[in-house]
Amino acid sequence: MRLQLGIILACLTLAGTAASDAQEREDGAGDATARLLVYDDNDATTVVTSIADVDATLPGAISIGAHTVLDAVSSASVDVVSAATGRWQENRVEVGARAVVPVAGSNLTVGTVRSQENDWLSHTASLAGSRELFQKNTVLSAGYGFTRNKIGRAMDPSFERSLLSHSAEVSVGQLLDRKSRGGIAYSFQALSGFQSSPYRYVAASDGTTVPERHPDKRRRHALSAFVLRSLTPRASARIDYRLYRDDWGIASHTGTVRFSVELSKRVSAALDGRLYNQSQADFYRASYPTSFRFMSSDRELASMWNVGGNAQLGLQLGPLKLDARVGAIRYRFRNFPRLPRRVALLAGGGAKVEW
Amino acid sequence: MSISKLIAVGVLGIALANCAQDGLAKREDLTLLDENYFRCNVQPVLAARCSFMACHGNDERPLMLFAEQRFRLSIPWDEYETPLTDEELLANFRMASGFVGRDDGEETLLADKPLDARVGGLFHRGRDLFGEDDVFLDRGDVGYQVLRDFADGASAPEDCAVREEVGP
Repeated sequence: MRLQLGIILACLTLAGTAASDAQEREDGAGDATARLLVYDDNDATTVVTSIADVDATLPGAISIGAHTVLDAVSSASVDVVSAATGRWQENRVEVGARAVVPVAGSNLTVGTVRSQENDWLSHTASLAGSRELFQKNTVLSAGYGFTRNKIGRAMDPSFERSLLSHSAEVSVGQLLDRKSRGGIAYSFQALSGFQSSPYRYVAASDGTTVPERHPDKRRRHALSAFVLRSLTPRASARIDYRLYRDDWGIASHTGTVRFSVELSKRVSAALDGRLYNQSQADFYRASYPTSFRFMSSDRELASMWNVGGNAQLGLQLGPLKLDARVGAIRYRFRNFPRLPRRVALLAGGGAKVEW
Repeated sequence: MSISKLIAVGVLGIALANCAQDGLAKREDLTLLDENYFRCNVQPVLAARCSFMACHGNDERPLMLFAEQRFRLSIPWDEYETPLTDEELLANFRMASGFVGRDDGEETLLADKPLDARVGGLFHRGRDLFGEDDVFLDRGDVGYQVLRDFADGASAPEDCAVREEVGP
């Protein structure tokens, strides 16, 4: 489910990037990207993500793009083991298309994404617009996305639930001085429908066991801000902060710092670090004394923090850009006794060609 | 308006406008379910139809059930034929109570999961694992009716007579 929710925000982000690129390019120009990312953690979960993305600019400054993502997941995590199930493997296939059209001095982006896995099918439609103001010193953007999810349960043809999502984001980007740029964004998401895991059960200490049950409604708010500053002609730093709250009682803070440097005309490097902290959902408990209206054994709703970092190396060979990265994330779940800690390693690389 | 003012307004907006929903951490009222009815009527059905070691007489199943001569709670192996203890009966009652909640509409997992899908039951892995027929072939099965009545709040006096097992 987390992957599905991420699609909407990714759509809105992609829309903004595509709109920005389209404005810069000549007719017939474009790019194609291929990436491979591997995630592996000590909770016996491995995810291999393959991404292909292509963009092209048509006459009239219209830009079109398409992407596909394949997630190959293999897991025997504590969730799986506690549900008396062995290791499972499955694929998630996502395909999407987008178009950026200049309209009255603004860029309008429309997009659609379809994502399918063995127990989940979702369709997303998104609409976003951006406009540059004050001699391109300010960029205003706004976007909206709607996702319809159909949730199933493996091997159970009688199980079918739905989850609807409305997402919106508004943002302002501003040139702050000759060397600095900043921005803020507010995003909102309203979810309605089945939001529990169809596989998880929650046992109370009095012997009651129930299928996991989360509220059907959820409202999520996030406010984020960033500052990007050129430190030297070849180096820059970026700081991001994100404040999140929802009506399940979760509040979180995310801070990210990134340093980028051009080592030569062809070689660049970047380092980033991220710190995340969240409080638990109001109805989440490490152990329930008896049956409650809402009960969860989802560690993502527990009180937790994580810290991570990445190192990235880029190489430009004419129209071809190559990059590789490695990273690690350490998770600490404060009140999820079955998995108090988790460490994940990430590695990946990609190639992008422009014409 | 400067960016710092916009940030301040946004933070304030999130802080004020986003209170948590009411009643998220509320206990569930299980008082509608009757322990006497469970002991005299439901437990014999569960013991006869559901609690085989390969099925729910097994601590790996979310619905884990104790029954005589099968899965027991801290009972020596040579005393497995003795009647269930109060502790075991209470554990079974609570376990079954957790599966009474309507999963969708009028369905209740406790009764409708073992009901054959061809007559409107829910998916039950037991049917796939052990044969073509499910535990209850139709809604007229007395075992199904007992579980359904329990979910609907049926009650019994404290001195109720324990039903004969209605197993296959």
